[in-house]
Amino acid sequence: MTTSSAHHVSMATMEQELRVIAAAKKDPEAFAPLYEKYHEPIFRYIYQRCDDKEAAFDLTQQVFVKALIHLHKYRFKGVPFASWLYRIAKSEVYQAFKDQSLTRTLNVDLEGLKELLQETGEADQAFLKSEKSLTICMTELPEADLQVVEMRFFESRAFKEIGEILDITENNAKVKLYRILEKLKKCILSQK
Amino acid sequence: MKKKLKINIDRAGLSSQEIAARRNFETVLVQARAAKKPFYAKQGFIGGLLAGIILALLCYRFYKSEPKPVQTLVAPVVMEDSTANFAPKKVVVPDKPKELPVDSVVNVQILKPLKKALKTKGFSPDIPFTFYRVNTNQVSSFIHKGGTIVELPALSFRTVNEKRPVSGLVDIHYREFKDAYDILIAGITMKYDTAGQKLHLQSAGMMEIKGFQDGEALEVVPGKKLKIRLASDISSTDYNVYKLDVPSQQWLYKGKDTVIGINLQPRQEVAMDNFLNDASAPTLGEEILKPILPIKKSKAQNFKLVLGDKAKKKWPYYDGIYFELRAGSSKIKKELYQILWKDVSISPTHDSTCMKVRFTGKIDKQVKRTEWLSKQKKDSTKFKNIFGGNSTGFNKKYITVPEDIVLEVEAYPVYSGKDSAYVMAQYYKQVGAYKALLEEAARKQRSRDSMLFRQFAGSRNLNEKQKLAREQVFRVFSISEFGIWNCDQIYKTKPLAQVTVQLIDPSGMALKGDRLSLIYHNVRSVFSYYPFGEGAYEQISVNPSEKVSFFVITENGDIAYLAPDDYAKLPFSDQKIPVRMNIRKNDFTSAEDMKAFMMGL
Repeated sequence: MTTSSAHHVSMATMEQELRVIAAAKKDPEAFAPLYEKYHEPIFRYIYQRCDDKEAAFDLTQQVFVKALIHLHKYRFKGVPFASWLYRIAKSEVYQAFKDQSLTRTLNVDLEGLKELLQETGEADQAFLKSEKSLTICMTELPEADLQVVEMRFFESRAFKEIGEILDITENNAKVKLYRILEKLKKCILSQK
Repeated sequence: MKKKLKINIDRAGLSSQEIAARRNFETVLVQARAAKKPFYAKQGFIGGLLAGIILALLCYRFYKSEPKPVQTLVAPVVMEDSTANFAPKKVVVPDKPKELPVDSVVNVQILKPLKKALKTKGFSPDIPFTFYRVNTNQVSSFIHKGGTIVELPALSFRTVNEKRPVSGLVDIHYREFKDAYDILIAGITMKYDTAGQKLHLQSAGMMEIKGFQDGEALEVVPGKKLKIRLASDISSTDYNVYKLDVPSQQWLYKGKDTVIGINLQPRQEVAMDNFLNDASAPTLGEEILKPILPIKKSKAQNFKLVLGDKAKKKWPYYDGIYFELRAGSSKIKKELYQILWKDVSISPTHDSTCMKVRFTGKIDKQVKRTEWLSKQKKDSTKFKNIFGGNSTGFNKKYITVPEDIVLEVEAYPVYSGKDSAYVMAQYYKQVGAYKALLEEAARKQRSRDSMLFRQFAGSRNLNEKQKLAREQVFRVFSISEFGIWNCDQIYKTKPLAQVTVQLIDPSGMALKGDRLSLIYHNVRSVFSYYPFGEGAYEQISVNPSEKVSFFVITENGDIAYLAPDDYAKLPFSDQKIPVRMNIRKNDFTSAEDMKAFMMGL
């Protein structure tokens, strides 16, 4: 399993970000570098979960508006600033699903799907059939579980980052994923 | 119950450049600043509130003692959130016209149909636009004089030439054509050609809207829609929405509007109707059929619908109901039970004795590889999807491909395994709950409409308020383009005479003009006829018993007219009839002057 290295933020970078945040709390215009840096990752996070490009851009903008509004509440907890933004994004996206202004979409790539099937032990024969069963099984997963699978296999995020976004520990993220894979495996077998 | 989840495989990604092009920190800053503090936390709020109350009391006393003249600017209104936009709604107050682009520039497109006449000297009045300046970074709405409410979603415009999305302040130019005289003065055709038939439209409300930024013409961004609540005094629901294609001078059918009563005792059925248009609301859809009872053990094949969230809202009363296939209906094959259908529609059969259930979706089908290949272009993406991204699939004789499938069966909705009294009680409970839901939503809609109306009417004097409350309705529709939009219906002809007219001026000379326009005083339309010879006009349809005026804009730009009293004296026959027109010099200074003259005939 390969994971994105973009998340690995050094302490020096975090300190630098904190200085920007401190300045932005006094003058919102100082927030610009963080906006430039995180606009694309946040957009991709949102667009991964929906099928409407324009709505994704709107939501991304809304995330940063909310971030600026609530910046005074932000407290450093030893995790990158991006995690805080992702949590706002998550909240905005799920609010949009709740309002039914967006349709929950799972965007998968065949590579990620293959990796997921490998993890469930179903990758070998009849890939096409397994793929279909898997997609059916994924629709059965609770939203919380689906998020973990999505972040791990289709966004290639490290467990550490998944933990930070979901506000759980890295180990907890691993255990969760293990249990979800077991569930998926059972479901795929029952589909056969 | 399965959750609603769409799965895309290998969707095309977006490039970083494309994403970077949409970055706009300025907009974020503007929105954040606008919403930074809740109003009650701002400095001076308490003081301001007290001052406001005192001012309001003084205004109230003043208002009670002396009626105010009608205001032409809109009263500020905060709309309830009815869309899926995220930015807060903003009140828009129109700016002074003098700060905006010059009227005549704006009117060039509108007056195209009268190009020939307009080039002649002296003819210039036109229906004026009202200008609204809106901040397009946020959702905005404005109320036009007369009561029309226009809602503009955030960031919904781009430049016509470069297709560049615009933010910040945008000028909206808006005008309405309230009656046949407005339509005539603006030179708008009401002819409607459909399937070779030449018909005339009559209007229940027509408006034109345009957008500009720094004088540059704008268009609506694809996917965004402006919601129009067009104030009208015609409450009939037999009207459609048309848009005028200016170059071809053709009205294009765009769908149907919804009518909402906005008086203080609203029409319940039309309010309900509007509610049904709301995508988030449950819809009645098809007729609700009672399940049949009681259920006997039947050998007939049956099935149960597992409804998704959306379908459940539409048909809550079918939740838990089995459908039993009618004798003679096509059977459902075993494999079809495994399909997740994309769509299902339910409607009564033509004899209304049971229901037609139609499923559409895709099914995996085994086909010969060679046959399939011969039908397809050699597209690598398709190969990847069909063969699972490897080349081993190329060796298979048969491959699996998804194919569209439609299944239509006739079935009875039935409850299974319960006694009949329980079944019917359940059924009525579910239908009752659903109707209560509809009524509640309709009540909210009415309340919102009344609030908007009261806010609007609050800025007007009592007589006008009463008049509007008695007569007005909203005709509601959404538009995705700027231009001239019209709620129309085909003018249904009464017994008519077909005559050919020869127009002459007071001196007996043939009259030349680009078209003859007839205005029936009881129809909101202009009936236009075109010349085919020296002063002779094509065969026109008239009703001799109606009150009708004739108008022609002459070559000099003057107005040739025939008053209703003179019309009544015309000798209608099969022969070409001479019509002596009067001439009024076009020295009108405004459209209102011209209209007053025409109406006074």
